[in-house]
Amino acid sequence: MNLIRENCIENLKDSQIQDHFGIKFQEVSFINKINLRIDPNNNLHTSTCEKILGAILPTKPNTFTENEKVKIIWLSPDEWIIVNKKEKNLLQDLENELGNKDASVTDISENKTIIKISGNKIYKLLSKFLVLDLEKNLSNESACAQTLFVKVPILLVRNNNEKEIPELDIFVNRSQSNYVYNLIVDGTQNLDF
Amino acid sequence: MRKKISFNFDGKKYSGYEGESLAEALIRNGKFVIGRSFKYHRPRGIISSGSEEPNAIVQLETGSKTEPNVKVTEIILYDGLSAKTQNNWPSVNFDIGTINDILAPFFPAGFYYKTFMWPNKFWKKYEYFIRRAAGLGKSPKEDDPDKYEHFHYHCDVLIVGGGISGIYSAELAAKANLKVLLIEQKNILGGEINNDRTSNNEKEKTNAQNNLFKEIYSNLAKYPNLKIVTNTTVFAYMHHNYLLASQKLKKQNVRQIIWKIRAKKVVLATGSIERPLVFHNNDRPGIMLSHSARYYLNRNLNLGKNVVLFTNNDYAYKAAIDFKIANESSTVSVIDVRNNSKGDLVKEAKSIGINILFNHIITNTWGRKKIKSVLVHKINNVTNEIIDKHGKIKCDILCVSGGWTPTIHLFSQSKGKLIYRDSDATFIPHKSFQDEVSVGSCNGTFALDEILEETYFKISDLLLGFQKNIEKINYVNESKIEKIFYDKIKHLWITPSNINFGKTKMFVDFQNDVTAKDIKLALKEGYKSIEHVKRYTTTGMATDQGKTSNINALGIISSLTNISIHKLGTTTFRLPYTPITFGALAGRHVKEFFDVERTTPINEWHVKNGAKFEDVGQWKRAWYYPINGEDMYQAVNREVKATRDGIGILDASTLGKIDIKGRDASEFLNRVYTNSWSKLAIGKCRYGIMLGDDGMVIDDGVTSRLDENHYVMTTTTGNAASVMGKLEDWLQTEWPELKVYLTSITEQFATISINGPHSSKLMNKLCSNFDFSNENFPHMSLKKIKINEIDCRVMRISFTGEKCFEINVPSSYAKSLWTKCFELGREFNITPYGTEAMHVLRAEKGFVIVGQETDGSVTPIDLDMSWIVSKKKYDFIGKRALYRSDTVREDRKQLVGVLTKNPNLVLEEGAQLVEKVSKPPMEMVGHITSSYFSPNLGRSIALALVKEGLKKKGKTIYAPMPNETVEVTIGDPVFIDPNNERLSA
Repeated sequence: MNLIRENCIENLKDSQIQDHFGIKFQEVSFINKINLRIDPNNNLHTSTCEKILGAILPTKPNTFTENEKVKIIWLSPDEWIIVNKKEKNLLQDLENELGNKDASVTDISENKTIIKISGNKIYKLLSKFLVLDLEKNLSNESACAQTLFVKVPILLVRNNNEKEIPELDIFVNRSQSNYVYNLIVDGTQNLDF
Repeated sequence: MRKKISFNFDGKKYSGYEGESLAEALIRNGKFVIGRSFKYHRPRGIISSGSEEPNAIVQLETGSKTEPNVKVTEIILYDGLSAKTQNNWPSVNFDIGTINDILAPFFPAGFYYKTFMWPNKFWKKYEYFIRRAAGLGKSPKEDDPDKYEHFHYHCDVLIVGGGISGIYSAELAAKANLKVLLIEQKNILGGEINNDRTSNNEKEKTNAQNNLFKEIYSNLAKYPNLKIVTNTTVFAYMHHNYLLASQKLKKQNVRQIIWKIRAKKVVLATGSIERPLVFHNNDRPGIMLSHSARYYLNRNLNLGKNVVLFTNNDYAYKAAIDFKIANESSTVSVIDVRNNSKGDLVKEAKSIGINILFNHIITNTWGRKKIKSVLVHKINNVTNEIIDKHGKIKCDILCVSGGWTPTIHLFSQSKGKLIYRDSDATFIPHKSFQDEVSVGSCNGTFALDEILEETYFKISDLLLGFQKNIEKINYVNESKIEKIFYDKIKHLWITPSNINFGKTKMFVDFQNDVTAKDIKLALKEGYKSIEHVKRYTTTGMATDQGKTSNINALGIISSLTNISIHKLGTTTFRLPYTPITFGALAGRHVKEFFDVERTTPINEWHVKNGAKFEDVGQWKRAWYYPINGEDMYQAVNREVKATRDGIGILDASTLGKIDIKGRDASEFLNRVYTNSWSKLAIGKCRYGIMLGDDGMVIDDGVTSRLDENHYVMTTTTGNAASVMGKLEDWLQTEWPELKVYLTSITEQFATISINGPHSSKLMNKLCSNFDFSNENFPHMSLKKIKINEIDCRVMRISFTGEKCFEINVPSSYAKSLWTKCFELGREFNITPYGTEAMHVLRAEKGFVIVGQETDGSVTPIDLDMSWIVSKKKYDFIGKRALYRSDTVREDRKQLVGVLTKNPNLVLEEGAQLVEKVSKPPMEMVGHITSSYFSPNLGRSIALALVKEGLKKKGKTIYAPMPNETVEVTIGDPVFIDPNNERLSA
């Protein structure tokens, strides 16, 4: 009898795409995420990371870097989230190489879930709940932003390039994901003002 | 062609046109009495055409959608609209309350303060009647079915007001390629231009203005970077150019949107409000502000043929001219308080045959439901005394104008400083406090050519702040805006009367029924400050915030006291500018979205199994699980008993979990906890207490060592975020030398706590290849165990005093594992228990809960836990404070157990304790912090903080309750298993 794995959002089963008034929603539940904390001035550590990840650790605030294996999202001067798209042993590799004396590699795959949201009016929709100036803060193609959704801390990561339909990944604590999802969906009802 | 629609007013059906205001529709249908006044129940009509309307307020819609005190001038007509007049019974035309008008001499200013103060004990009787009489309109009693939105918006320039100055500003800013938002409170742009008559005569001045407006307006469409929002009122101007606006929608399901705007720069083009004149019986239906009368006239509404204008300024002549031009056969008379005027408009009025009486005033009016005639007297132009009677003039409408008051409410809210201009009695913006400019008539600039000039210079200056330079758009010359000469205004403030002043009814504040006589009385009774006069008479305190009355009230005080207006100052303008509904303020945060909800991965199971929930911070925690119609008491007793006899299972996922890594992790823990951590073996757990700088307990929890440099700390549910914040704060600001990294993993793992004498048997069934014996897995240790191939961290810790295994399982597997525990644990009577049973179980063992046994004034010593405070450590947070003279006092309140003499009586938590029972006040020595019935002991138990409690063990003290005094004995806080034998049984 094996344990069953379940996604976070009750009204949106894993990988299902729902359309509410032209806005598409999907929960990306089981993707591995790693929280990385190292001293950005420790060249040995940064180069080790970059060798394992194959991408540069972004040091510019509110940006991310990406390759086919990982997406590295800046959280603070010494903290990143690494979204692991396919490497099986990435967590162990980082832990083994960096150790835990001067670095912290922590599995947070279950800590947060990702709500993928796309559509032409997503900025307008989110502006019902966010104080952040989305147009300005997400104008760059590799932009991310940490802010509050009502009172819930979230991380926004831009997915689309200039010409594509806007798409965002919303990283949210799993305990708050149902509240956030239900409220955004409720907000899709009135977007033409 | 405009669409004809129908609406309902006071139960009768009427028709109007789409897009017009309810005020227009009512006038179109000949309705002039729209309500009854607040105090005297006098018939009142529409006096204005905007948000300043004090009289014509109605109860809009019925049932769940009803809204009181809505101005008919602000309601845009829609099909099926329903409105009712307020403050009258049985009807607006015949209102019993009118008796108050006859009894008016007995209702002076401060009537309530004076009358209902004695005798004291009668207040309860008075209150009943006063509360019934108080207030206008009725609030809805049912849930509002509509939705309300909040919407955040960011822009470079926000322009408030869509009059000429506003739209010109918008064009200039939009041309400079900035993100511009223009907000207008009416459903059309144009402001004052909308009052003008439209004509095709090229030579007419008004036509030139209209053409100018049309030109600017058509230009606006060119700019995609300009957003125009109408039907929206900016009602609050707060710090850092943060403004709030309320948009009214015609939509059926969404009623209002609150715009939350952050603007780099703000342009206030809020216009101005016309003042009424203060004379005897100046409140009859059919008496209107001159510009509003023009507005309605120029919308082809029939206001009557006999028109009288009572004015003290030139601007108002526009109304007289429009009435005459609209219908040459009408008789238009102007009563002008001034000696003469050389103004261009006066000349024009004369030239078209308007009869002007200079040095004349109106001293009385007649017509109960609508004005019929006015009485006119001549005055001496120097002394302003009445010198002659001119006689009665018949009229269908009386237009009044006492000059214009710039709408400086938002400027004032933004903390801008005002200056008083004596020439036209206006307070105008002087010094901005925020990044903002005022243009147009809200800045005291009234002539069109001057408005355009001023706007251009102020906006180009503002644009320099964005490093933008714009070319002038020269409207003044192109559209042939002529310079109009306006002669001076003359203020009488109180129009002289031919009858005794004490018998006059000269209304200043129409909505609160405050007269000039009331203000005089307030002054006579010693109220000198404008703020006091305002509160005593209630002038300016109604829902319209005295938009039409404030300056008149100031003028009256000034003329009665001979203190100039600028020395009196104004009262404070507070937000909101116009009333806002509670629904709009709440937005979408109602019902299931009222507050953020946090749920554990096992939540769905709790819901399905009938759990009652308790809010712990934002968390929804299972409180107890009633079965077969149990009440809380029965359910909790069953859950507690099952835990001590078989297996109790708790969802403890909400506890905070912080991952601590780094070479200095042990030293870090030494500093944040009172006890020592350096020697904790890998795989072991230890309980810690965290203090604030003041030595008081702020958090507690178990921390486990996973590795030489790796710990996992647990915090209380409610303090998880604040403890994480504090730890990070200390690391970054106080101890940058420590190499420690923190990561919150609260939600990485769900925690399933399996308690009871059979817990290890269940663990064996869950994971048969692991040895769960006390020898291999002793109390206070941690093991990494694979359960069904999933990596879990299992801790032997206990908050119940029972043998306990806390399984930390990756969250997405938690519900599955939880369900599995039930399948395998059936033979041990596995019982889910909620937070209430958890509290009883821990209280039986005397375990404290931070926030229940502590309240920010309790040290570990007070909790009789000095064993946890290291004497050897060099330092830890709060150490110094622990040895202050006050914290080492032996007579502090200390934690003890308390047993009632009557074993079945459960004390109230918070009950005060005394040593000697006497008449109140008694000296209190402590209070009950936790109190429960313990099913395992078959009696009540309680924990308490008692002064010198540790020394008083064995003594009897008392808890005086309303119905009886309860005798209690102080004892040890541990009621069950003091030697901890059950932990490893």
